[in-house]
Amino acid sequence: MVAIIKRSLLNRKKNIILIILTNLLGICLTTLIFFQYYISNYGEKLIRKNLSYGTENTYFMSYDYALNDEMQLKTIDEMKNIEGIGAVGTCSYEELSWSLKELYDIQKKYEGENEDEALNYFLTDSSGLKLSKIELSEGYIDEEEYDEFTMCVYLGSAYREKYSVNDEIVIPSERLNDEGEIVPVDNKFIIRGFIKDGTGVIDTEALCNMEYYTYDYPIAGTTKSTIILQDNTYEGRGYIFGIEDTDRSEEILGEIQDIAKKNNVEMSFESVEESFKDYRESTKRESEWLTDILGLILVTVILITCCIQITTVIKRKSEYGILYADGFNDKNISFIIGMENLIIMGITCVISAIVTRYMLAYIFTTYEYQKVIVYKIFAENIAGCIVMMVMGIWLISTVTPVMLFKRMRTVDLIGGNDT
Amino acid sequence: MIQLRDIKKTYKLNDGEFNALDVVSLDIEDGEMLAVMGASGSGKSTLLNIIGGMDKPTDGEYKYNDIVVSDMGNTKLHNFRRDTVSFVFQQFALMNRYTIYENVEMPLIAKHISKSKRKEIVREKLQIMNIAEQAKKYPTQLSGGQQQRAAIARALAADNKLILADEPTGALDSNTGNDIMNIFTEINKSGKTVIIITHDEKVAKCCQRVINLSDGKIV
Ligand SMILES: Nc1ncnc2c1ncn2[C@@H]1O[C@H](COP(=O)(O)OP(=O)(O)OP(=O)(O)O)[C@@H](O)[C@H]1O
Ligand SMILES: [Mg+2]
Repeated sequence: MVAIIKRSLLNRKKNIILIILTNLLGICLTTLIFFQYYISNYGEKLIRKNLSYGTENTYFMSYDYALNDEMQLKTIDEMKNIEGIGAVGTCSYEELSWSLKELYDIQKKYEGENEDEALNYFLTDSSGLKLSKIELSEGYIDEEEYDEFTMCVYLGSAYREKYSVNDEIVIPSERLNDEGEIVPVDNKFIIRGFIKDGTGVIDTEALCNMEYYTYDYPIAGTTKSTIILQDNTYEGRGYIFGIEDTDRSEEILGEIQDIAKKNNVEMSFESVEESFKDYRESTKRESEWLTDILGLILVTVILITCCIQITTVIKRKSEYGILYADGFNDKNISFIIGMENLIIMGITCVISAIVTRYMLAYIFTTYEYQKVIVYKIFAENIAGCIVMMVMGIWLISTVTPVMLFKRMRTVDLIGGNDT
Repeated sequence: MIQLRDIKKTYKLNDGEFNALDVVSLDIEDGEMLAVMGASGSGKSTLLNIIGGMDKPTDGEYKYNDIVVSDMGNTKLHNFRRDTVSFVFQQFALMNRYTIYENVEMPLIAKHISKSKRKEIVREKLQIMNIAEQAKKYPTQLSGGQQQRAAIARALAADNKLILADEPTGALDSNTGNDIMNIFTEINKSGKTVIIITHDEKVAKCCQRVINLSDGKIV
């Protein structure tokens, strides 16, 4: 019987390629749409899980950047002193910048020269870190002082093989001094701890710009993730704050407004929960439209594939009739048809899965952390969808001809011997 | 032994019913060679298909060696066919996408016979039918006579008791037809029951017994 299936498959190579291509196209398109949908859900889920103060009590601020930077920072500082406020901070995901090249060297040392990806890291002050539920596998988080040339870093847990907590890494560098001369300087990195795998870190920038970053919610905790604590001397970032004493929410929000007014800073804030609502509202129409398209593509692909599969088998009905006459029974014929379809759909499934996975990784990822998300979503949602779709096609395209053949008389299948 | 009792086969048509077989009773002994004759549309093929388990009678009882075939469900009927009956068709019914060798091998695969054993049997039958050189060719590359020999080789490979042939010489010229009939005679001599449908008197003469059908009745 294996020989029959093999011959049957070899005899319809073009047909199989057509099936694979149709499915590949359909699956790729559906995956793209699915992915859009899942990634925004994923981001929301991640944020819900990782905000220390919860989505109801975490607010992000938006203010007029062009105004007085100094006053903004002053406002932030003063906000930190409000009684009952949890933390006010910022944490953003950055690609390697010139000033942090040293850290890149650490990574190179660790990963080897072949690693050509740019270093990505979270840059945050300790308050920013407090806003995310950071879990360390080793080390500590505190608010110890640090200066411009001493930076505290948290590394992905895989770095533990190489470094321990409180290790200092000194990398000589140079900088421009006030007189415009280049002077040597030692950059010191103190390793404060190692991040547990799978730990999420909220990118406050992404959170403050939710409309633009639907899938830009980063997760730290892979081997490469690195968090750098820095003094909050940089401005124009997306700041968020969390309220600890939730009974006093109204009061605290009022106080913040007062401080802003006093410092002449135009500022407004919205809770993360509210912004989720707004975001969902604004994407609702879009996603409904996407679901329609998705359904259409899925149905089309399933129909086309089933049609190809079924017509191929039915076109060969005389052959199956002869097999019946040769002594094969319904079970044998079902097995032959089912197995043949299974092999074709299996190949389709594997190829589609591989192509989609890589397509997603390349289209949707700029940063290493995004790959982690993409693969996670792929494994948790998309792979299952592909398998289910392929199984559905397999079932339809096997059951239809099998049922048909069962009902037909063998003589009619062969095509009549009177002709 | 084949025992047909009051077999009826009725087809439902748009305007009423049509009796393709109208109460046929017939006994065929093991090892007999029987010719079935009759005008076109008289019900010959219908009768043969019922005997071979390819079709079920509407009414009546069909017993093969005291087993009631007419009551069998699909699977039992398929297995009865696999273990008892081999067909030879007018149009050969070879699978064009498979080689002659593979075509002959099919019934053996259905019977779950091991590959080495299959090889032995197929070789032998092709040899007997004098088409061993054509083993690797496809049916369309063979002459009509050669194709019918292949079809008979396939029937022989199954080594079933009952060989049913529906106008096996119908598509062949008379010389080739004679060859094929000689083969059937040989097969019958080896102890198999052979039933042949034919329009040809000469063919019928080779058989021990001839029955005539007319409008679904034996005359
Ligand atoms: N599926 C069917 N539906 C309706 N009528 C049928 C069907 N199959 C056969 N018949 C009718 O039954 C009658 C007997 O058919 P059968 O094929 O047995 O004839 P036959 O004797 O083999 O003829 P021929 O010599 O032409 O092969 C014919 O009149 C035919 O039209
Ligand atoms: Mg006929």
